[in-house]
Amino acid sequence: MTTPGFAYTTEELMATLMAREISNGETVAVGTFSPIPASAALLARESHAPDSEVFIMGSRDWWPFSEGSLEFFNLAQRRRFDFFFLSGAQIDRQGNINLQAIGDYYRPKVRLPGGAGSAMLYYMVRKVILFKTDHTVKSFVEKVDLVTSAASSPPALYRPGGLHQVVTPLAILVKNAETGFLELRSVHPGISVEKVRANTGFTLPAFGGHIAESAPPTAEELTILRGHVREAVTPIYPAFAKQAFGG
Amino acid sequence: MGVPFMPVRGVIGSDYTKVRPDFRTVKNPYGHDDILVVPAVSPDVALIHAFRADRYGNCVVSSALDDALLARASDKVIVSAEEIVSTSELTSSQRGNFVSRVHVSAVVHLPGGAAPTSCGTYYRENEEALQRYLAAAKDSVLFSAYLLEFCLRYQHGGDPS
Repeated sequence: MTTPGFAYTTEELMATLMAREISNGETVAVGTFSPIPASAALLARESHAPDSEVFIMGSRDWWPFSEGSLEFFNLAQRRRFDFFFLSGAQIDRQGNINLQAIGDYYRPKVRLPGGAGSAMLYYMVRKVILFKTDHTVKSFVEKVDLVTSAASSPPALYRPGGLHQVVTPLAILVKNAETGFLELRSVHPGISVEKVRANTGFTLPAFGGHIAESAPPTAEELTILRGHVREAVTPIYPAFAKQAFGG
Repeated sequence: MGVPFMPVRGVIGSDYTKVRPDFRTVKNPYGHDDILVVPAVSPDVALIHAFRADRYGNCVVSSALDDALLARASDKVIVSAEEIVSTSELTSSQRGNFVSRVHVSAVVHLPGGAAPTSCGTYYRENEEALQRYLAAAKDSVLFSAYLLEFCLRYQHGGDPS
């Protein structure tokens, strides 16, 4: 979808913002149902991070494994991933995610696909970016109905990884290390702070006392997204490739 | 693997430790941390669909899936395959994971056996059939019709293509 008055789509903006977090040489892994993160990883590789390793589940070209998801998850447990991307039907104030059920676990209102590898990946991948294609009070809640993957864990647990940031169609949220709660780092161009707060089910203070505006995609980033990246994600996400890119 | 449980990183702190009492937290006997252990999954029967198989049960399956792992974990393994080929053709064939006959109980020649989902270079997913399944899953009459058209007719020697 194109945001009215802007020359790029929301998907392009989100992919660009995620791509810029990746440094050259870092290893970026992308799971299932993640077309925007897949675009971000490929954009980074095609621009400022050409030496990065990219793995994309569901892709023939970006899946150099011979033993299915077991090999992939074992690599994560060995701390070989710098980035992974998780979403959730609900994300709460602490950064916990829910991929399991809305309502009670035993009598769910909506049964979701389940946590899959997230309950390990959130702990073992150095920097996890949470993404959400909608930003509403229903999806950003005070407390998730069920924690499928926890943003914080007991001190006796070995945990080298965790939350890096949250990217939504409206804003970027980050965690305040002191309070343990998510805060507002930047709002996207054309989006007001009031709108972000009205669509978030918990209090959202300014991170570090200042809210920036997210920098939109540059002409060069858009060219790469609409050319190479669109082509590369087409075999994995044909419907996404058709509608997510402008130009 | 034949072991009763497996340690897994992470998970502790999530609600899975509450809703799954069979997931246990133990002290790492070789370190100072706590770690989750989960019980072994040992299926009685696994049904896996291969690209190619020989008549002895050796087969080549997708390397994107965990079929080879599943075959090694299950007591009985029934392999269906797009093609039945000779052993020498099998070992020189396309990209995929080799599963030894040691793990396999039976082989069925079943072209189209992965439909309506995709199967390697053989065919892509059948989007129309998948959409119909999604609609049928909400309605018992539609679901019966779907079962009849896509599954039950094979019982009567229907054409699997």
